[in-house]
This record gives sequence, C-alpha cells and structure tokens, in this order.
Amino acid sequence: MKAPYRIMKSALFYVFVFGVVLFWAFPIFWILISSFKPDNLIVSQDLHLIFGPTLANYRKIFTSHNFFHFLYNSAYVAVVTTLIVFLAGFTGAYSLSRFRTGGFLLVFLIMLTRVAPPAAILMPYFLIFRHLKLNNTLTALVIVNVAQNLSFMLLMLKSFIDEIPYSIEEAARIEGASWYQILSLLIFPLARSGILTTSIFTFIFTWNEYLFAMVLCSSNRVKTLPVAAGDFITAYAIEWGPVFSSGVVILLPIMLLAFFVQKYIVKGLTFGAVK
Amino acid sequence: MNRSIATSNRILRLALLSPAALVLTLTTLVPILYMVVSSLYRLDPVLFNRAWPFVGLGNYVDVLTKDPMFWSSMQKTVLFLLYTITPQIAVGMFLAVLLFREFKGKALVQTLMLFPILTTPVVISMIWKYFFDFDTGFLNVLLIKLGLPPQTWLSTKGFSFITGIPGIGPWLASTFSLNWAFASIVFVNFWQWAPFCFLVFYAGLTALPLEVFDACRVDGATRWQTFRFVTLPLLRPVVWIVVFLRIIDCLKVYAQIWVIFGNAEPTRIINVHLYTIGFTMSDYGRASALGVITLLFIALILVGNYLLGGKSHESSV
Amino acid sequence: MKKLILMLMVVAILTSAFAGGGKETPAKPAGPKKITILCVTSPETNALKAAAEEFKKKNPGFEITFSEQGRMGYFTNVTTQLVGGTDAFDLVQDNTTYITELAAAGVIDPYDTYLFDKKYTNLAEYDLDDIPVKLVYNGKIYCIPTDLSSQITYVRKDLISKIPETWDELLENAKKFDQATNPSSPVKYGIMLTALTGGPEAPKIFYTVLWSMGGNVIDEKGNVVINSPAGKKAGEFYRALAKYLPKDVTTYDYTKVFDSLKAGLTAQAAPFWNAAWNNLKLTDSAFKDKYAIGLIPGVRQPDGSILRTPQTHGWGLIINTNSKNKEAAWEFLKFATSKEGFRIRGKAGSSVYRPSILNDKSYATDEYFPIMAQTYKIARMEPLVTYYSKLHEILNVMVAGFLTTNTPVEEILAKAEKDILELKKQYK
Repeated sequence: MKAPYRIMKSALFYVFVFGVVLFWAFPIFWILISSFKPDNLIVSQDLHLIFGPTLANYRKIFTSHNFFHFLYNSAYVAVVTTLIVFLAGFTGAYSLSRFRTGGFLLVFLIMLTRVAPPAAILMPYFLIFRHLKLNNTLTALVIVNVAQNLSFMLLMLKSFIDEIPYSIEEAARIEGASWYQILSLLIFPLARSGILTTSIFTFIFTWNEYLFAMVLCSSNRVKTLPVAAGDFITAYAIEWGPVFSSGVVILLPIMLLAFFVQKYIVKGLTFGAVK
Repeated sequence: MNRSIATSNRILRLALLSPAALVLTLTTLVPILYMVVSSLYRLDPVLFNRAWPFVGLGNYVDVLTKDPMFWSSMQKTVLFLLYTITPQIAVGMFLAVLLFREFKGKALVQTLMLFPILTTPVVISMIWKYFFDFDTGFLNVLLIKLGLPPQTWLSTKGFSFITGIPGIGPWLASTFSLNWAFASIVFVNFWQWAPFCFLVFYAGLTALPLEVFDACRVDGATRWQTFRFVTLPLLRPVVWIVVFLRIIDCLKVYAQIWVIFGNAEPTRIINVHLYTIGFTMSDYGRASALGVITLLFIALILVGNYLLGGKSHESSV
Repeated sequence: MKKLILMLMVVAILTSAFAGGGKETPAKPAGPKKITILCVTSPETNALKAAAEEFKKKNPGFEITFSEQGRMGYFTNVTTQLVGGTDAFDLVQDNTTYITELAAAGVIDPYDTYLFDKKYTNLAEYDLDDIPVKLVYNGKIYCIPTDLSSQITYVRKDLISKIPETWDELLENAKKFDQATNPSSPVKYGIMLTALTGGPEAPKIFYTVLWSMGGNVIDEKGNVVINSPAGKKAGEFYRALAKYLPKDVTTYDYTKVFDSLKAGLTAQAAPFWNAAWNNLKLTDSAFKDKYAIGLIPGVRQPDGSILRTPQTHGWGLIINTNSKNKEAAWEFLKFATSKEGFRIRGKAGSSVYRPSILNDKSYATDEYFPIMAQTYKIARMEPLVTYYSKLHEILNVMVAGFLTTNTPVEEILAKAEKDILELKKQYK
C-alpha cells in the first residue's frame, strides 16, 4: 500500500523538477538552437523545430565582425578588474574586520557607492576620463568596474574574515609571524571559498556590463562583447541570427567558469550572513 | 595591548585599508560629488562647454513639482519592487526547501538554474522580447498551434479581469499598473533572479545545524510546522540580505526595460526615467538632481533595512 | 619561490593595466591621411562604406575607419562623446533632427570653411543648388544630408488596386482588411505604422498627418499652435486608426513594421519610411513582390487637389570640432555628398535625393524614383530647435495618448500645449 504511493510521490516530484528546469533553462536552450538557424526561420509564424542547421551566424560574427578581438577585450577587462578588486578588497576587508576601521559609517558609505544610479554618474565618468585622456581605453572600463564591484568584495570578505577566530591569528603572532605571513598563509586559505565566490561574481558582472562599456569604450579597438552583441540592433532591423550566436559566445566562457566552481558559488553565497 | 603594538596596529590598518579606500574615493565619491554639484546648475549640451548658469535648488523643484512623470515613475518603481521581489523570494524559498534533498540529477539542476544569472541582461531581454512578440513570438505561435488564443503580452492594455470590475476596474488597473506590459517586465525580472534567490536560500539551508531538524522530527512536528517555526526564523538574516540586494539591483534596472519598451510611460521606472531625462532629453542638470534624489531614497532604504533587520544584520554587514 | 612568481605576475598584470589597455596614440599631424567615422550599423552606413571604397581607389594611402555601433543608445552616445569633447572621431553620422542642438553647443564645425574655399571645393562641380535640403544654423551650413528619409504608402497590390489618396480612404481600407473586424480578410491587419513610444519615429509620422490638415506644432513665428481644430482632427484620426492598429502598436518601431511587411501580415503600411522599399527587395521574403508604393495620403482641398505634406529627415555627417584631421575629413565628406558620391551610394542602397540624379532616366529605373522625386519636392522638416529632444518627448507622450488611452483628444492637446509653452519659457 505504501510503495505505490511513494512511487507516485516520487514521480510527481521529478515531473515538478523537470518543469522547473524547463521554465528556466528553456529560453537559454532556445537561444542555443536559434543560433544555428538561418535568419528567415527565426522570425516567422512557425516554430521550425526541425531545420537544417547552419554555422552562418557564427561565421558572421567572427569574420565580418571582430568577435575574437571583442572576446579579448572583455576577458582583459574582467580579469584585471577581478584582480584589482581582490587585492584591494582582501586587504581592505581585513582592516575593516579586525580593526573595525571607520565603524558603521564607513560601511554605510561603502554601500552607498554601490547604489548610485548608473545613468546619473555616467556623464561625470565620461568627463573625468576625457580629462585624464583615458576615454576609449580599456583602463577606463577597468576603473569603472572596480568601482562597481569593490564594495561587494569588501563587505562579503569582511563577513568571511569575521568568521575566522582571532585566536588562530594570535597564536601565529605569538610564534613571531609577520602580518604579511598571517594574511597570506593563514587568512587567505581560510577565506578561500568566499574570495573565490566573490571574485567569480565580480568577473561575471564585469563580463556582462553594458551601459558604461557602450559609452566609455565605443571604438572598435576597445569594444566589449555585450556592446558588440547590441550592434546587431541596427538602425532598421534586428539581426536575430547574430544576436543569438553572440549571446551564446558571451555565455559560453561564463558557463564553463561557473561549471567548474559551481559548488563554491552555492556554498559561499551567504556564508557570512548565516551565523 | 602595549603602546607599540597599538600604534603599529593603527598604521597597519590604515595601510591595509588605503588601496581600497583610494580606489573607492577616486572612482565613486568623485563622480557622486560631481553629480551633486552639477545638480545645482541648468545644464545641457548647449550650455555645457560655456558658463554654467547657477539655479540652486531649481532643478529639484522642477523634478518634484513640474515633472508629473517623476511621481508616476516613483509609484511604478515601488509597485515594480513589490510585484517582482515578493514572488522571487517566495518561489526561491519554496524551491530551496523542496529541493533540499538528494535526488538524481541534482547537480545538473543546480547548474542549469545558474543560466539566467550568468547571461547578459541585454540578451535575456531580447530573448523575451522575441518570445512575447504578438505575431511571430514563440509563445503565441505555440498557443496558436495548440488552438488557444494568442495573448497581447507586450501591450499596455489592462488585464480584462481587472478592468471588467464595474466602477473601479479601470482605476484599479491604472493605479496599480495591472497591465500586460508592466506584468511582462515584472516577469522578466522574476525569471532572471528567482534562481539567485533559490541558490542563496539553498546555501543558507546547508549552513543550518542538523540537530535542530532532528529534534523537530523526533518531536513529531509536521514539515510545515518545522518550516514555519524553525527554518524560517533561522533564515531570517539571509532573507533580509536577499531582499536588500534585490531592491538595490531593481532600482538600477535600465537596459532590460529599454530593449523591449524604450522609455514608454507604463514601464518607466525611476532609472529609465533618469536615463530619459539625462540622455534622451539631454537635460544633464535635472538628471543629476534626479540622481541625488534617487540616491537619498536608496539611502533611506538602506537605513530602514538595517533598522528592521535588527541586530542579526549587523554582523553580516 | 612560487609566491614570488605569483607576485611578479600580479605586478606585471597591474602595470600593463595602467600602461596598456589600448591607450590612444596621439594623432599624427602629417603623413598618410587617416580619418575615423562614428556611425550606426545600417544600410546607409553600408552605402557610405561603398563610397569609401571608391574614394580610397582614387586616393591610395588614405585610410578611413568606420566605427560602427548598434542603434540602441547610439544618439545618446554621439551627444555624450561630442559634448564631452572627444577627438576619437573626425566625422560623426547623426540624424538631422539632433544637429541643431549640437551646432548651438559649439561641438561641431560648419561646412562653410571648406565648402566655400576654392582651395578645397570646386563649387560648380559640387552644385549646391542640386541639394534641396541643407541644415542651416545661424546662417552656416552644418550638414548636407547623405540620406533623406521620408514617407510613402505601401499597399498589397494583390488586395488593393488603388493607392489611397486621402486619409479617409486609408481608414476605409484599414477597416476592410482588419481581420478582427472582418474575419474574411486574407491578412491580419489593415494598417500598420511606427508608433514606438520613446522612439524617434512616432511624432514624425504625426507631423505628416497634422500638416496635411493645416495644423502645426510651432509655427514660423514661434507660436505654439498644436491645440487647434487641425490638431484635433489629426488626433481624432489617430484615435480612429487605433481601432485597426495592433494592440501593442506603441512597441512598434521601424523593425516591427518592416517585419510585418516581410511576413505579409498587413494590407497597408502608411505613412511608412521609404527605406523599406529597397530593404524589402534585399530580403528573401515571400511577399516582397506583392507590394506597390505611392505618395502618402493627404487631404482633399476645395479645388480638388490633394494636400500632401510628407515629413522628412535624414542622416548626415557632421564635423567634430575637436577633430585633428578636418581637412582630410572634408575630402571624403565632399566626395560622399558629390553627384558621383550620391550615385555610388544610391547603387549600394542609400536614399538618393539629388534631383539631378532622381530625374536621370538612365539611373532611375524603378517606380520608386519618380515617387521619391515628388515626395522630396513637397517634403517638410520638423521645427529644428535646440530643445528638439525635449519637444520630441512631449509629442511622443501625446501620440501615445491618442493611440492607447481614452482621454478626450482636446485634453491631450491642451496638455501638450501647456508642456511646450513651459519648455519654451526655459529657452527664451
């Protein structure tokens, strides 16, 4: 009597899970499929589930548009940003955590920097970079992205470091360890999952950033991937095929990254929040 | 602690904090200062490279009194936050609790649920614009194939079951933005971020001590009782953080709405309105004033969140 | 040891971040000529590139770089870059409607310096009289458009035999072929037009209707005259049309209407942009040969003639005042807008408007050309004011009000009038 009931409950469960996954993964899946469709099959009154696949869209974005170069630009900005955010964030977070530097007010200010509406600070950024002769350079974009993500890193790492008992450090210091050794050999390994998680999110947000990249880096030499994808919204039409294939190209590296560090993302997301 | 350690501590902690502080000051506080200063002048492309006429609080007066779109966009922003964040939290929590068990393909499910968060927001809105399209969109083509009537997903028509209410129907629809277009932006935001809530809550669950749940089971509590009286209170700090993060993010939404609706009035939430004033209408002074107002508004939310979240929030901030 | 290497790597990356990263190299004053043009991905830009190819053949060693961007946020970017004083571009492709503001802001240079200087331009050959539309501000020419856009009527010739001549005829056809009203219609919609709120097109089309009814938004003397009987007629026409337009028509930009022509969804598209004609031919749509075109509808006058007032605007290249290569830029600009340049670009898909070419039988082989020649002859530009973008915003809201609400037309007009008067006060 119990067994069939349990089987049914279990089956229901799997059906539900399947439905959930379908709801969230299907549009992405559709992007993938559509990227292999010729243009006229995408915008039409039929679903075209069966069709002859073509690589035309990919060929287009890599040859007549400079997608390899844009990939490099995006990667450069994301990597450098993440590195700087990590270095400044790690040291800063340690100071915030161990010494309660600045107290709540400083933390509040840090949060404020994250929430400034982008549209309002776009013009100031543009002008400042123009004065520094940094317009249309990847450096400018790095600076902007560091600004956007540093607060996140500072606050996340602060809660991680808060978790690490001070007694361990004290013991090390008694044994004569220098501050540098404590930071790199003791704190860093213990906070590793938090660092990894926040760095990944920094990377992802920088990789997908659109507004600042569009205005600050508009020349082809320094264009990043999301802006390049937006190029296919031409003055008169949306070239859906290339839009989808560029969507896939933008997603692929992130997906690979996420796949490898997935358990850290899931684990580290609220490490500091749950006491 | 003796003196020398204390002094070296102070030097050290300032030294450690300085790179971050320097970066933050230069890259964020300076633009914000600029925004505050420029909000006191009347600025547009014509005046920009010449002497800036000082208008003091004139821009603020303009925004608050002469711009009807300001109040309607504030109203829409509040409604947007309410409509989209509530389901995100609820569904995220529901999924986290439900899927918190061993089952086949669990790792795959968690990976697939990451996709909406990883994809560029611009591409996501283009996908949904494509799905929702009335004539050639995926959803309507599917509906037609199934013999069902196609829906006007992106129109600004109110929901017929609301507008049909005698007397107050149309008023309800317009005051509470109960129309298809608004629903679609709420939905796209929900679709993109509910997985985030799910993953965060799930992570929160993994950090909970198992003994408590064992004790509940031993005591004979039902699953619902366990959830309501044990799980939920324990997860409260996590929920507050997620709500807070989502509010901040939703206030910065721009590209997702612009791609589908431009700056159409029914979907014009505060950041879209700011962008319209600053860049479509090139009124830099007024946009700066609006930016300062938005910043103050957000600061208020920050403070409110801290006060409401209580002590459990302090350590996580 | 491992740590040391790691540190060196970090230092290396950081220094490269500040030293490299695609920094701008200062412009070389002498040497091979190089110019950069900021433009939007479009058929007009492709035509410009064709002209650039020919130009480069005649001027070996001359480099022209096209910095293309998508439409989303393009105009914002142009204004921001120019106002911010960048020197990364020498020429910028912009819409004629935004140029006045830029000229007033002093961020672009007039053509006059080079146009009227014998050293740079042979005026007889260039033939300024052959240009019906020039953008003038403060007595100087700031732009000679490379492409002009105006509106014509598209109908399915297999369904409608006569191009509608008046707005009423247009409305009748719309009703006849609206599948929701008349289920036996072979197409879904009887009428289609661009009405995207927040986009550049909706108010432009409204002008076409408004002018033909004898109305205007701001007259030559600068009075705000939108709230008039003519304005009311135009508003009511839009409201009547809204019955047969798609329910989400305020999300319809050029692309959507164009797509509906491609997919054969509508019997008429009017007023609709002339660029669609050539673009349609380039697609592989099954319906591309089923359309006929004609002049836009108008209002029948007491003497029997029809008053048509198509609105026009266009694309043109403007000269960045901070450019370091203005002379070289002018060489290309002159070529692109010369008779030869127009011919080359016309063959590559651009909307030619020089009468000398449109009337040249050897060039004008399609029904399209005489229609365009006539259209440009009667075309009008919107008021080119420095507060164009703000005025545009008010009109956008007004048009959306006609199409999607039930607010009385008079109320909508009164509000628009009030807003425009407010706006003008700021710009005395």
